[in-house]
Amino acid sequence: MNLLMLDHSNLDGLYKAVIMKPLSLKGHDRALTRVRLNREGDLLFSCSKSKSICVWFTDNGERLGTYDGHGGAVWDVDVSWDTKNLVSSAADNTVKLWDVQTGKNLSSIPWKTVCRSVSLSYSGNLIAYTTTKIAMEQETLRVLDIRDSAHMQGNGHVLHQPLDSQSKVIFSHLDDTIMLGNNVGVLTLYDVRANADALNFNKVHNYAITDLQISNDQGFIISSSVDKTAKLHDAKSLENLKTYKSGRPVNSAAISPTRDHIVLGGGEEAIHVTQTSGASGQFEAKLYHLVFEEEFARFKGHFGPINSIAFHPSGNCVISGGEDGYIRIQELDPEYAEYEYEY
Amino acid sequence: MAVEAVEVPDFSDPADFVDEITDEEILEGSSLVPPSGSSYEACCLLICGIPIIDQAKMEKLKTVLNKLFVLTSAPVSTLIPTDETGNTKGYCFVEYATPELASAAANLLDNHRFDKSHTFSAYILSSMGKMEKPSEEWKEPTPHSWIDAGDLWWWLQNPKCIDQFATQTEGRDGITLGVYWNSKGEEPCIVSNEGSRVNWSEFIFKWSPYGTYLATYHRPGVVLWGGEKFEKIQKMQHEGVTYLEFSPRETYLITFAYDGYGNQFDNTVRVFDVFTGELKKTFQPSGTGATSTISEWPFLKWSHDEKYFAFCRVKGDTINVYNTETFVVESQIELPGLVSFEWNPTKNTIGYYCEERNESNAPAEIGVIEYPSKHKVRAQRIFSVSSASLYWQKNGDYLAANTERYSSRKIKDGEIKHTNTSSHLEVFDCTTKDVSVQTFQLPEQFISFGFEPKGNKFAVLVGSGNKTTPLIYLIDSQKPVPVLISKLESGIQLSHVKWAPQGGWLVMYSENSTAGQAMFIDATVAEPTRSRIIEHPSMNYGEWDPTGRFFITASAGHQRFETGYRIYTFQGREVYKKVTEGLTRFKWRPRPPLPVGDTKIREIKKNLKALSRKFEEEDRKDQDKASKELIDKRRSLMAEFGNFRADAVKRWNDESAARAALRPTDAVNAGPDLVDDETTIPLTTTVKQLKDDLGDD
Repeated sequence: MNLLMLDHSNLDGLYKAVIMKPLSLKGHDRALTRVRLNREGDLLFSCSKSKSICVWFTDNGERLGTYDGHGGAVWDVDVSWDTKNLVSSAADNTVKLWDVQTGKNLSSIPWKTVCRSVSLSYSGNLIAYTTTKIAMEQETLRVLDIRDSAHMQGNGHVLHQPLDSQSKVIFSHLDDTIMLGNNVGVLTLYDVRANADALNFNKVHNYAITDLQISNDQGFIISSSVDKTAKLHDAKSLENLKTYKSGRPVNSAAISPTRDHIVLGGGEEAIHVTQTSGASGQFEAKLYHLVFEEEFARFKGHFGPINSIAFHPSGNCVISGGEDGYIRIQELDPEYAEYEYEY
Repeated sequence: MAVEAVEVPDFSDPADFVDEITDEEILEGSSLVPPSGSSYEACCLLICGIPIIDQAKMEKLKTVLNKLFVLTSAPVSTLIPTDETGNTKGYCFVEYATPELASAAANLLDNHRFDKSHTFSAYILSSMGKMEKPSEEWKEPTPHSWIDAGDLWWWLQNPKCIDQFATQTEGRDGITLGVYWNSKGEEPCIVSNEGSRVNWSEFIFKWSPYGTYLATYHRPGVVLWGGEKFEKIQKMQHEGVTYLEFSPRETYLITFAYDGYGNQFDNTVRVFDVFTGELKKTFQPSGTGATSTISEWPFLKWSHDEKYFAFCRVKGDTINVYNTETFVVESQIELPGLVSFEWNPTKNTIGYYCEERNESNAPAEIGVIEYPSKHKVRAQRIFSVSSASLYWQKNGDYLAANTERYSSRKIKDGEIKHTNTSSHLEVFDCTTKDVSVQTFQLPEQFISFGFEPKGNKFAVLVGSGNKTTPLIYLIDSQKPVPVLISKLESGIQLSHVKWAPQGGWLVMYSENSTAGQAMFIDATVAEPTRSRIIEHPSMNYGEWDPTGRFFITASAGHQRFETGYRIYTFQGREVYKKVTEGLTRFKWRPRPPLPVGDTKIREIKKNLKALSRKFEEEDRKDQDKASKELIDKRRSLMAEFGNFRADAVKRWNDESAARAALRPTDAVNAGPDLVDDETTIPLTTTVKQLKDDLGDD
């Protein structure tokens, strides 16, 4: 019962709403790094700086189980479209493939350094992941094929691309292209099939890009950044279309699958949190109109920055994972569904 | 003892004179020393600025001058040189017995105002050698051309009487200063094409008290801007200017270059004429003593009519009052232990506070002095006061002093410690002739104070830390002490009291709490009540607009998490909010006082309903227009975005085959050929006996 509605009393048709009771899930001891839903939205996968990956029923917040085996912080997870396979990348220098249903670890692909960001292709057959720089080892983008047993044992690859900055990765078009967002705010597009230079790049942010998410029709990509904005780009041309200003560093942003809305989450950086009160840290999730770039609602809940945020496929529910170690399932109330911008 | 002007006899030797005896021989065995030019020079004064008169008046002048010259001691000789016609040359020489007497006389006679058109300047002859020649390069100043900045009061003629404000932001490309219109609830718009400039001011900026000029700081001095295009109207030179202040009616500008923080500036206070740019006076505020800087700013306190200004030095025990007609000390008011004083904002009276002097067992004194009569209208002597601060009501009817009193004091390691302190208020009622004083003790520690600008109410903020209590009092001359009319429980941290410029409403807010709360109070009613509490995290500034229609809170300055400002109605409803990266300063443009008589105001108040109808109608029209504009803007944005979306959808649709190939087992990708089919399967249910089932097991 803690929605903070913006006072747009000078605007007509404002949206005043009380969000339904949210679920607050405590399954991780440490800060969340990713919350991810499967295509149907019934299952919620989460990973954190602790070693295990959890899977939950989105409906009631009941935990189904965990995927144990990683020896370090799990930085990212992704689930295939058919909810068969789950991939995870972790600080124990491995990317692991899991069977969603049984929780069995199918393969563990070692690398020389920490694996940070991971993404599955449209078909679910290709794994793209980025690795970090340690000593002489450069940052890399690697793409593997699940169907190739050699790849799954750590031998060979579809694509191996050295990078010059730590990056977030997402498949931006089917099984063909990969979008990277790096630590200096540059988006880069690679073709999986051509082991060559980047297809295109565009500097869209002033500081590090913290997350990349894609719209359902793969037309648009939303990036979030430490520069206190989230931006919407054309997934093909990388052209920057919209900018959402938050006033706080943004750690994650998601596009609503059903409406012209986006949600973003973030807050003052973890190292500064102790110096700020809850109110000034702004750990709320904020809803913006996709096209008008206007913030129209926000909801409180976390007492630390939000690290990862996702829309439920129904578009009526937002899931967020915070630095505070909690996952919140925030159902948006019926009034949200009725709320329309006049134009 | 009358001293005649001595006719100088001719002591010169004849041309062919040969000295038979040397000085040494004469002086042998004697204690006498030969006279030297320098000893004469140290005893003789040159006094310039005496009247130029003819011989007829000579005797009269001599008598008058003599009366002045004997004030310190009788001069040895006086010489008034005359020209061929016997007219005086406008200067004279006065010799005294010793250099000490001469310098005492010089101090007295220098700057002496002889009559309306003659002011003396007195120099000891020996000091003449130290004077510098005028610079060879000195040229007569050329009059600079008149700058026509247009109407300086154009901004007061806005048809909707909306107000302006200026903000300063620091970014990568420099310091940007911008002047904006505040229109209710709308994005503030720049007042003119020239209304926003990068690096307009190198430091901060200031509005003049009536809002006519915008003053910007630069290393070489101050620049004043005005008119619709903000043209450069006046430049005042003062290297390294750190503070500036206008006199109350913006006739004069006072600057100060602080000689601190390792800077080497001249450490002087200068007074300029705003209209001509002329330097009227330079002060070395610290004198030549060891204290190298001024004790407070503004250093010069101006009377409301700008007729006088005054200052006091640290531990100077005197108020030095200057007259702006002549810019010389007119008089000194001796007040032992003087700490601070303030001019009445509407009359020529001064409120002052002298601290207690324990060595002579004298109590602290707070009082009101009339000027120029220097008559102490009222002086309140109070024992055991550790500190006091003075507040004049804007209308000049009341003076309040908050006194911190103690029950015991200890001196430990040279530091004075006061224990068992309590806060008191003294309210001086200056509406009566003999100025009555009402004194009472505050229930808790004093934090802040504010008089209603017009009227007889005041607000006091008391408490400590997170528990602060706003108290509102009414001054009733029939009662012994002010009447507490409202005590509001806040439960939040507050530190400042700001009354609306027209009174009636007030805001209390905190400048240093992280929550950043402000409380709006309605004091128009008999028992003031809380209207609203708003939150603006990390807010550190709050101010009413000059008309009292809006209140802003701002979070400004370096190392803040979110800088920006929010505008509220006088009741505390937020109408606009802006996050501005690097905001360092927000200032409303002040307005000149309202030239409307009381009768007119009463008439407007009477017909308020009829008058406001017109404005409500206007507001409604504006709102319709605004929402129409907004909707138009949204439509065009939507149309533009629609193109991108159409592209994306087209790509998506074109690739359905490719997608189907990638997810062969997925029904969703099979395309539009597969339609959700609804089949009804009839279900038959049979009722079984539960008990029997159990029995079967």
